[in-house]
Amino acid sequence: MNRRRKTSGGQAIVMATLALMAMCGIMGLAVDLGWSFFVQKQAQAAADSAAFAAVTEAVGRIGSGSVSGFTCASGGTGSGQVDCQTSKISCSAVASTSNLNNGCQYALKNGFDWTTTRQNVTIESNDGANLPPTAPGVTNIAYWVTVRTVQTVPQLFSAVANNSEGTVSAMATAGNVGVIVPGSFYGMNRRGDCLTQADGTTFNCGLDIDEQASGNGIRDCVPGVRASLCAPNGIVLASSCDSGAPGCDQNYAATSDGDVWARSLTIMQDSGYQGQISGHGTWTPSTPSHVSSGSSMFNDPTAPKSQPPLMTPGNVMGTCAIPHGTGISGTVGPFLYYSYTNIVAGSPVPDKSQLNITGNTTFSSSANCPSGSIQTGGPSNQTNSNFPTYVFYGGVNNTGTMNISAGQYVMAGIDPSNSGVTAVYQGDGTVQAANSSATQTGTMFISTDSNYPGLNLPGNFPALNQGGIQLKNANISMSGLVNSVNTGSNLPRSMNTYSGIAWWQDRRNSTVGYNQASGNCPDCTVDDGSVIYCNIGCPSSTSAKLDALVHTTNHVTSTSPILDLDPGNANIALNGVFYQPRGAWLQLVHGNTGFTCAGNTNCPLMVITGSAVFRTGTDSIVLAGVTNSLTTYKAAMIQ
Amino acid sequence: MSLPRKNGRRRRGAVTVEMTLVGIPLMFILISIFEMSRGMWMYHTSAHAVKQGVRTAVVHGFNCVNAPPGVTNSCALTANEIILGTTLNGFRIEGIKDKAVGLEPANTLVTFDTGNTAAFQCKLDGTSTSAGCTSTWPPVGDNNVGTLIEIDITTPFRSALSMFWPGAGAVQFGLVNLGASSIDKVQF
Repeated sequence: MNRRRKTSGGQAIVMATLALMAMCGIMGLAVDLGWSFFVQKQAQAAADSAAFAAVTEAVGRIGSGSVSGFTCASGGTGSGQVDCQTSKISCSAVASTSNLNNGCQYALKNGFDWTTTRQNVTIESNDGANLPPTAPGVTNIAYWVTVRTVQTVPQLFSAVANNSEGTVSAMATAGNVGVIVPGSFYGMNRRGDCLTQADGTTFNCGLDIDEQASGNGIRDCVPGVRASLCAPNGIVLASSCDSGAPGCDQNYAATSDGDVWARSLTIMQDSGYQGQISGHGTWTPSTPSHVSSGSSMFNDPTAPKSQPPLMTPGNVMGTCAIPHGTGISGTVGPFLYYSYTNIVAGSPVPDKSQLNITGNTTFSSSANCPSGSIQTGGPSNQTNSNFPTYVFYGGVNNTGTMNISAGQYVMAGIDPSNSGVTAVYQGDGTVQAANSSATQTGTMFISTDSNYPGLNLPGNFPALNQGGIQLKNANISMSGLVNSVNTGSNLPRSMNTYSGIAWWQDRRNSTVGYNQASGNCPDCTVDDGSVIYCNIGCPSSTSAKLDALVHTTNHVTSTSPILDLDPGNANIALNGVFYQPRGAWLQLVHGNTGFTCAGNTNCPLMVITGSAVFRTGTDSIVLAGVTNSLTTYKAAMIQ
Repeated sequence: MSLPRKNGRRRRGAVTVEMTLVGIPLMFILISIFEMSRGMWMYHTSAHAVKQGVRTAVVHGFNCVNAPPGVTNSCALTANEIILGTTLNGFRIEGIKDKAVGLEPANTLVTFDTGNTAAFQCKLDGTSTSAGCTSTWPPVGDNNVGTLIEIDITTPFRSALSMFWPGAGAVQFGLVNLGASSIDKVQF
């Protein structure tokens, strides 16, 4: 009897044991695997935060715009340097002054302590010349960091199946990478920002788009859609004008009698007012999405870049003194061009007059001055022969043809006493790419005065004023700077942060006061694209007076920030980015003016301006999606 | 002599009755633990896989697609590549399927949703040939940095648990679809 009792009891034990084994297995899957997944999430969070922190610290040390030229070595641990570890090292080997240490500390805060036996954190980093193997396909990188976190997890139920430990790991790569600035059309003017007519009266305060031409659908926008303003990648307007809002001429942020089409329409909302749209035209989308004024998307999209630096300063490059009234033609080189009347002590004295381009003129990096002019120095004075700087002191009146090659073309101011001249560049003439370098490397057109940051003209060049741009039947075709990572581009890597930009108007030529590095403005700190003086909502509450002070310092007149296509059939064919600062404006008047590219196609262009005014005629801004877009370097996760 | 035998027989009967009384609920409990564990395992796996899928998708957004010549990145992934993983420049980007060990690839559905464009489903075995599954995801227009994207997964779980469900009738192994989802913002 006892035996039988024992036997049946034994069966239960065997059954229970077998069931227990199976249960341990399956509960191991549920509990141990579940725990591993949980630990893996922690590991991923630690790796993500560590990689991002190390890159953020690097950006803080060298600046987001530094895409090359910074110290990047395993000893790059000083305050302005970044640490590059070409093969992965444990955090225990990272110097405490390294930017990578910031990453390690973040991993530690997220529960990964490399000093314990169960956990480890390894880190690897390099610059953009050595791309990360862990983020394939991402090429436009200034600096990157890869972090791997590893942890061994003791097993509870799975230990029965002889798995006493499991390994969990995670990897993350972050970089200071070139990212595309979204949007096709930016109107940056806010409430209180006005345009000025020739007689000095202001108009269109707080109005970012004023399309008066009523022709519905002037050009094909996207298949099946015609529009007079077409911005496939989206419209961003920084005006919050609506009914009764102060600082607004009209109750709208934008008004159009023609059709407007965009993939997205984002307008600012600010202290109870939200920007409204109106007009007889059809708006697509019909309802804007409103975003609070705190959003960075309403800032100047080129911020925090400084203004594009000039590759060669004016006191280093060679000069061409052109006899007053003589036209420039032929094949000419990269020089500081100026007009002279008198020669004193053997050297020509700049007379501040406008330069005339009359014939077929080809700008070439290796050529000399035009015949009949006085040359000092030579093309070899340029710092970078692949991307030289051409400076036109006194501005240009182009009645001929400018065949341009890769480089910067700087329109450096006008003489205020020269009556009738209000534009640093004007004329009926043509500007076009002369050779493949102009499209493969790109060209940049800069309109400014004689005091552009870093221009450094020689001491005997008097200060000139800012001027506008005045185009009549002109045809201008240009390609913005092409990032050096592209085959065929000879752009210096240091300029990659300005890739895309074809047309740049000096930020100092504006009715609002941009921050700048120095000068007669009490609150200025650094040239970073932020606006510090304006009428409404600027950091300095008494900014109206200071704004006027800054205009004087910057040699700005009330109408100098304009780009005016009037009258005729002026056309600008740009590939890349057209930039005017906030407080400047674009005016299209009369005729078939606007942006049209080769083959009557829509230009792959991003238009950034303060405000756009379309008057009589069939003016239009019809854009294709940007292909040489504005990029900004910033810390981002890339894998 | 006969008394203990009698008692023994009674005890034997009692053991059988006790085994029956205790055994049925015990088996129920055992199978319940087993099936709950299996369900949790499958849920954990699918949740983990889908989280990794979204993690991959958010770092292959706008800046991977809208590239040249300003930026020459070419790291965009199609929906099927997010599911199956892919090898770029010798580096293996793991897919949802790599992380979804133990799920039935042919019967598991992955849903891709950006909120704006219509959501679509692809099979975990990567055989779906619809336009959505074979094109870049998130699609242009919905891949801007900061856009919320979501990947869901539903996997069939045939559980023995349901045979204990009252009123389940002749159903032996009922079908439950386990679902998991993950949402994140596009980072790059």
